[in-house]
Order: sequence, then structure tokens, then C-alpha cells
Amino acid sequence: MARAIVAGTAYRSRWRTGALEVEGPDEDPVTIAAELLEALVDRPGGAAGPVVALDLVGRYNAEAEAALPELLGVPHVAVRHHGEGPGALAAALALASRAPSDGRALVAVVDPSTPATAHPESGAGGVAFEIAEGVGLSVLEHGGRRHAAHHPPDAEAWCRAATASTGLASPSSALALQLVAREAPPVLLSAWRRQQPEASAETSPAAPVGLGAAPTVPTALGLRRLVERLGPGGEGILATVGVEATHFLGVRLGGPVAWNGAWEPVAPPTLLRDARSEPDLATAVSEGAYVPRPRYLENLPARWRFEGERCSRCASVTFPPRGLCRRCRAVDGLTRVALPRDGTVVAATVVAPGAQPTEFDPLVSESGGYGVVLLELSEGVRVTLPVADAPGEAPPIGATVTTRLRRLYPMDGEWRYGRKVLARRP
Amino acid sequence: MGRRRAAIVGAGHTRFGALAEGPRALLRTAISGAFASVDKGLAPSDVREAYVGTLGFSGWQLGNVSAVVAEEAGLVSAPVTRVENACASAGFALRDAVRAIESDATDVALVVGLEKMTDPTPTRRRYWLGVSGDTEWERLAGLTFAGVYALLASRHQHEYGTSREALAEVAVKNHAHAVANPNAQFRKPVTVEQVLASPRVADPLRLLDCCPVSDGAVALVLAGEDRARAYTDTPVYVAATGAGSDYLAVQERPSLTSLAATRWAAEEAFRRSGLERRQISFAEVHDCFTIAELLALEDLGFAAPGEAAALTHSGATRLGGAFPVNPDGGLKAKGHPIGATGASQAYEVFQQLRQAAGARQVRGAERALTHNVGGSGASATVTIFSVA
Repeated sequence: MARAIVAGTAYRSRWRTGALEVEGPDEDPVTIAAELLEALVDRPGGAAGPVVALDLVGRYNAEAEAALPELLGVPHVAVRHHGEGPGALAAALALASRAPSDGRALVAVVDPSTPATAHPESGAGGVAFEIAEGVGLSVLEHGGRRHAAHHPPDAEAWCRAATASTGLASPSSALALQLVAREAPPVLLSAWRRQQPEASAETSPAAPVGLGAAPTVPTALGLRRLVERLGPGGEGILATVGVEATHFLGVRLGGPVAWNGAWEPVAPPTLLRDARSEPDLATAVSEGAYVPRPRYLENLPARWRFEGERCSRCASVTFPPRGLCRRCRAVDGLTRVALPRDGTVVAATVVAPGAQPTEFDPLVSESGGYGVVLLELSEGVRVTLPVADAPGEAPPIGATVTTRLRRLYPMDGEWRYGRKVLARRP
Repeated sequence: MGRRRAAIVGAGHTRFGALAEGPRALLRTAISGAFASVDKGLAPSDVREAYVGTLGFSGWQLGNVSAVVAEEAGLVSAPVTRVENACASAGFALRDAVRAIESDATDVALVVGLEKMTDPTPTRRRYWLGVSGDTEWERLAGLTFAGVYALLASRHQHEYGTSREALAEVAVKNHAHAVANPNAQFRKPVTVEQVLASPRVADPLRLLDCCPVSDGAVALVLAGEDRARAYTDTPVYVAATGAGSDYLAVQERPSLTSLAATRWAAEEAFRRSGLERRQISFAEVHDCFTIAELLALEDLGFAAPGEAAALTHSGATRLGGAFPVNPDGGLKAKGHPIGATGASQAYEVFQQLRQAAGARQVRGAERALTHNVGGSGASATVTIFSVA
């Protein structure tokens, strides 16, 4: 039986706040990447040591990005950064496809760099795929070609390069055209149609997946559109035309795709649009409620993936890990264990504006009050977590909820991350 | 038992509230008031040991505040020890003084509690209001103490059906008591409706469920029971103290409807005193939030688990009831200068057991209990006092 590949997409609308564009009060490319990777790693059989290629387009928070492997707890991880967006997906897919493994790999690309515009799909997003020979998405070839800055490539030369680079010239191949250079779309699309006249019908798999004049659409969306157009066994080209270069990625889809996560533009809460003033991270000093950086890093496994310690003597789990069994005080025979990422609410409150600790002032100025719950992850193991997705609400006691990595608070010039509860998603 | 008991022989108390005076002036007022209250006179040089409970709110003189106390008390050269257990600082300072006297380390000791909370800007104040909770897991999940107690309240409601009105009744009672306390911050009654209509703070708690931000200082003079009569004919004896601690973060505690530190402190105090609950005339309990008074009554053993709301509703804990609780208005209405509260509770007991509490006098009071909690229950003291 053919196995479906699993693919995830995460998407957040963007809005501008002062000089900075953000995805949400507590979301950014790091948290989107984490969500994507967890979606793949968490699926049945998914955590058995896949190779992960994580590509964040542009540096957002280098330290946190570098810590994402910690979140995953997988043995081989490559984190790459690309200064220019269009080639990132191709590079990441190629990296994953060449990784030494049992033929499986995960790849995630997160694109935080698209500017905010009026385009309805303007946003930050990412896509994650399992690459698996025969059933997954195979990378046929990829390549690139530089052209004069801010000048679209010669249309005919561009088509020749695309087909030559990828080896996909047949009418049955589809094209997803991701155009970053604003001038290019109509010219290149019509050139492609001229080259493959049979592919003119919109319903044909060979018809170009028109991403339109959408210079702001995240690269990842192009791949998703392409895969949705391709049937099993189909082949296609994802082409991205950047300011200075064009990239081509030829792929073959081995089997059906089971999407994990939607790509639905969600309008940001209007009240947030102009209210936020980004804290000056370089000078913001948090007095007293201070977690020095080494202690934050020490707590990452507990904060990011709910890692606890199981005692081999009495079998109880201590969370967060202290190098000591809470129950029998054993210091030997403690094993790190990943606790579930979801749990049951055992106590809940909503903190009203004005009652928040000062570290949460930026969050409150954006979205008002927030929920905080005490979540029971397993028998007697509890953690106190803010609610991420429902301003002014908390799930009721007894509710089963899941959690996601989100931004927690700024300190010492950086955003600190930790898990929060999703109240509205099962 | 053989050991020498300690007794309070003098006590001084500033007004509680948003006060113009600075910390040094508050210390002087409380300490000179305590010295002056000693019926047969006290020479400051009699005091050979002093303990000061304070959090150091706002960062005013974070370290070595003991020297300031020595200066303002006229005790330069005497050893002064600063005790910090958040809101239970003065409760533990009192315990240290009692034990110093019980062990014959000193004959006369001074206990001081101090906090000056209204000086800093509102933002700095909010920062300071959470420094005693678990920083990594509670504060940085977005909780100050109102939020932590709100979590406990939500669980109490879930397990025992404690109603929103039941919480409000605690505030109504303590506000009514504070009307008769000239030192109280809020000397005005409130109704259940007013509590329920007050602004939300952290569900289910509203503004009138919460103690205020307060300035104030309190001082107590303690002497060994063999020396007490040299200072007054009506000393108030410390029958026993008890104390306990618990995990800092609520998430690590087995129970969410009970503060174990209170239970352990009460167990020790009652065991050492040899007294029964029914022998206690009234109690001063740590009602930083309305839910905290219900938890206290249950953990101290004055109500069965889940029964404190019914006890409160019955009127038993009102002045004139069978077992008045917080006749001075409690933290809720009298005010809660963090480091001063444990000493303020003992001040009230000193007045009450000497039948000097005026309009808020608990008639026939002979024995009383004070209960002082640090943070959300990371530490607690229970002290039992007796007229004989």
C-alpha cells in the first residue's frame, strides 16, 4: 500500500508595527518553524531519527533558530540561512534529499522576509515535507541563474534554463512560478505557455500554477500549490525569480500527500495593527524577574519540549528536571523523558490588563488580557502555561488542550521562547 | 515543658496605606511607639537583639537594612538580623525572636516589620509585586500573586463548588471589621454587589478580592516571661510558634486546594502549645486574597476542606460571631505592607488579648492565633498567643 507523504504548512498573516513586521503577538519565524517540525516529528513513527533540514530565509533570531534542533531531539539536523529568499526552498530540499539516511528526511522552510502588502496572502509561512524515495517528494534537480538586478530575465532564455536545469520539458509537467521580481510575471508566464502550447488549459496538470503577481507570497506556498496540482507520479517545476537570480526546482511526487495544517490567510486582529510598540530589546532591562541566559538555556529542554526526568528507582517523573528525583531524592538512574505536548487543564485564570507582570506589558498592549492555565501533562506532572491563541480567554478545567512553542518575553536583548496552550485547537 | 516562654510587652503600629512618610520615618514611628507602649517603661539599651522582616520592596536599601533599623531604633551596636520570606518575613522574624528568648540567648528582643510599597512608579510596583513567586515558571508564564491565587481559587471552585459570592463575603466581612481600626487603609464597608462589580484582576478574583498596596511599619517588644512583669502587668505570652515551607511553584505541589506549609505550621504550633482549636478565641489569618482566607481556615483546621465558605456565610467569623477572623480588617482591608504584616497580626493580638482593641474588641478573648504566609504558600508561620 502506497504510503502518503506527510506535509505541513503553517501560515501567519503579517502586519507592520513600527519598523518591524511581526506574525502575531507571540509568533515569529522561529515559532512557525517549530510548529512545522513538530507536526512532522509528532506523527506516528515520525520521530525515528529523521534527518532534518531547516532553512530559515534570512536571519531572524539566530540563537533561537540554532536551538530548534534541541526542540526536535533528532540526531542529524542542518540549519541553514539564506540571505535571499527564492533559492532557500530549493537549497533546503536538495540538502535533505542528499542527506545520508534511510531515504527519509524532513525539510522545513520558513520565510519571514516577505514584506507586508495588501495582497491577501501576504504573510510569513513555512512548509515542511517528508522526502522519501518512491513515496515522497523527490528532488529531480535544481539550479539557478543570475540576471541583472531588478531586471527580469529574458523570457525565452529563462524557459530554456528552467527546463534544462530541471530536465522537465514535457507538457505533463506543471509549473509553479514564484515571482519576486515584480515586473516579471506576465512576460514569463506567457513565455512558458508559448513553449508548452498543450499546457494552456487551466485544468491541465501542465498549466502554470499562477501565483499571480504575488511578490509577497512566501516561497513555501508555491511548493504547496505545486504539489496540490501534481497527482501522484507527477512532475513539476517550482521556479522563483528573485531580484538578482532565478532558481528552479524540479520535483517528482511519489504518492498522495496528506496535508498537516492549513494555509488559510487569517486577518490579524485589527486592534493589534497599530497598537504595538516593539520593545527596544537592546536596552529593555527586566529587573528582578530575571532569568539569566545560562539558566534559560539550561531550561530549554523543559521549556521547549516538556522534558522531564524519570527515576529508575521509584519510576516517578520530576518536571522540570533538577538532577534529583522529587519523590525519592535519587540522583542516579535518572532518564530524560519527553512528556506529552498536550494535557488536561487543572486550574485556569484570565489575567486582566494591569495585573500582568511588567515583562508581559508588550503582549497586553497588543492583545489585552490573557489566559494562564495549570496543565497536567501526565499523572501528577504539571506546568503553568499562558494561553496563546485566545486573548482574554482560558480553556475550562477538564479541557484537553495542546501546546505550541511561542515567544514568551523579551530579556537581555532577545526574545525568550516557551510553550503555550492553544485553547481553540484540539 | 521547662523552656522559658516569650511574651509581648509592647507594640507600635503606623497607619497602613499610601503614606507620605519614608521608610525611616515609618520605622521611627513604629519603634518609638512600641517602646512608649511598654507600661512600666523600657530603656532602649535593654534590647539586646533585633529582627527586621522586609522584602525590600522597590529596591530601597536592598541589602543591610538592619543597620537602618538599628539607627532609627537607637540600637546602634546591638545585633539586628534581617529576615526575608516574602509576605511572611515578619512572621519568621517574630519566630526568630521568640526562639532567641526561649533559648535564653537574649532577655529582650525587638521585632520590626517594614514595607514602603507606594514610592515607586506603578510599573516598578508591578515588577516588584511578583518577585517572590517562582520566576521561571509562574512569573514568566504571566502570573503575579493575584494570578497564582486565582488558579488556586479556580480549583477550589471546581472541587468544592465555592461560589463567587462566597469569596466576596470574605471581603465584605473584613472591610466591615476595618471600619473600627484607625490604622486600616480602607475604613469603609463594601457590599457583595460592589465586590462582584469591581474590575477583574485575574478570574475569578476581582479588585475587591485583593489586598491593597500599602506602606507601613510595626514593631513589637518581646521579653522572657521571667522579665515580662518588669515591663507590664498584662504581657501577652507566645504559647508556641510553628512554621513550614513548601515547593516554590504551585505546579510542583500535590494539592491545589490547600497550602501544605500552613498545615505543617499549624500542626507544629498546636503540638507545641498543647492547645486545641476550640480553645482559640479568634484568629488573624493571611487573607492577601479572599480565597486565601478560605484556604487558611481549612488548612488551620478551623473548617473542614471545602467548608470555609459555609463557615464564613454563617457569620461565625464576623466580630460578634463564635470565632472572629481578622478583627482588624485583615490584609484585605487593613492593608498589606508585605514585610510588616506578620508583626501587624501580632500587634492586633496584643491589643485584643489586653482587651484594648476598642470598638473591634473580641469579647473575652484569651487565646489567639496568627497565620502569616509567604507568597502563594512557599512558607508559612503560625503563632499561638495566650493571656496566661
